[in-house]
Amino acid sequence: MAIIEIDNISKEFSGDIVLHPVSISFEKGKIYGIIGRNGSGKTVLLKIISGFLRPTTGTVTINGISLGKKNEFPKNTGILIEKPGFLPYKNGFQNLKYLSQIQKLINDQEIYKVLEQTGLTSAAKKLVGKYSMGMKQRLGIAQAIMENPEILILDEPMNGLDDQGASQMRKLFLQLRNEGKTILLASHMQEDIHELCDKVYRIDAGIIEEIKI
Amino acid sequence: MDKHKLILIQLKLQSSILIPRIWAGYIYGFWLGLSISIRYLQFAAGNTVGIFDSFLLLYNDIFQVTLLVIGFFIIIADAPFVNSMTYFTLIRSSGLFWRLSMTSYLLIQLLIYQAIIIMGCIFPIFINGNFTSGWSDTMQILLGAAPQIAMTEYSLPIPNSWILKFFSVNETLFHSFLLISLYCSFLGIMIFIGNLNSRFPMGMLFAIGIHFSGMLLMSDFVPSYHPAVLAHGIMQFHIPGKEMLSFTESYSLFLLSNAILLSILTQISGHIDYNIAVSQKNW
Repeated sequence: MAIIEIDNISKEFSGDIVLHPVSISFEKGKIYGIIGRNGSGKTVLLKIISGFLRPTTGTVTINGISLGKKNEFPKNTGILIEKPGFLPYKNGFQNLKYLSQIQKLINDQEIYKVLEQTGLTSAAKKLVGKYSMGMKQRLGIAQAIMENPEILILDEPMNGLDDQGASQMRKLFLQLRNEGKTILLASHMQEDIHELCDKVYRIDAGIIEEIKI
Repeated sequence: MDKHKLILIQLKLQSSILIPRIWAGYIYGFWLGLSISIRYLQFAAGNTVGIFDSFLLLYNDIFQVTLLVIGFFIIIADAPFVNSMTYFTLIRSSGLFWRLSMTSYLLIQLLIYQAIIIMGCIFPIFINGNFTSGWSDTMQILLGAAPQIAMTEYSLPIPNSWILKFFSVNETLFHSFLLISLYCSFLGIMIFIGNLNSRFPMGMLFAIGIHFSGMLLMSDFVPSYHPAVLAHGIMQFHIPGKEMLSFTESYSLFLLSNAILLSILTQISGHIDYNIAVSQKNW
């Protein structure tokens, strides 16, 4: 059953086509890989699905609800797009706590649990300004998954992670998929594609095609 | 607005603490108030002064108001305030709540900026100690006789002398503050909406255009203040019975304009690209 449907979406910026018309259905409980060079349109596609960019043509439907005037952003979705931004003079826990207060769906214990899942337990009270790039990335993943969303949209989630960290996150994503989450994952790392993805799409110059893995 | 949605404003204010440009705007505002206040005290030469006298001079002069507006533009130059943390908040909120929260943030920044200007204005006078609650002797000399020396040696602006005749200090304070606040909020919300709907800072260009066209329209060659939005924001152009602007007209203009801009904010759902400005990428 399709949880995300994109129907004939395309995107132009000032007359330049950055994403050619494409229609894809993403099914529940699977991991979808999106690969492509820098500037190929991966992030644009993920931003359109997240509601941060409006498509020039077409519609995005998530859980039967079309994104648009009434529903600008998908419900029950965790995202990690672009470089994760946090308050550097607050610690990791405090940053997640602030974000959790917008929806008030989880309590402090659940925040600590997600910090543990992402390997940040010992850094929970450390100022984010003192985090390494990899730790910030882990915190970005933590904020994406902390409210137990049905859908995860992750743009290069392994950026800045060492081999051990990347392996740990892969296990986490597989676990989340086994729990029934749908994950869209843009990556340029072959290991991510081979180990994680049920289906892979390649974007080149804004043109998307499915590839065999 | 739900109570917990206030967290969006709080998060934006907390992130703004780290932006040097915003601190530069605050320091500029303080200097603006301080410099006019020091020159005013030098001109006073021992006569009584009102604690808000220099504030009134600043808020009732076209050139000083222009300097003031520039400081506000510096503070909100990153409108529509989309940075890498914004995506984390947008996905948990709604576009409308976010836009209203960022508009509130913009208005809070305006209040903070004005508070800092006022502090700069009253600080030297407070230290000086020789102040009075009514129209001070210095203000009466300045507005009454408009001595050349005030302009040439002390570079002081001299507002319309009819202010002393028609208004109390409190009335002048009230209208001066409120009109500038409404004028700046009008420009600020316009910047926010214009920049939000474009990959270029269209809102900022519009606001600069409106402000400086106001200056041109207030030149001696234009017979009426009515077309100049800037004039509506300055209290000294509202003297009763002097063929100037009326408070009713100016307050109606700003309230209506701000209401229209806010209604646009609520109607543009689904038509916005939330792009991170290049200057915000590394934040």
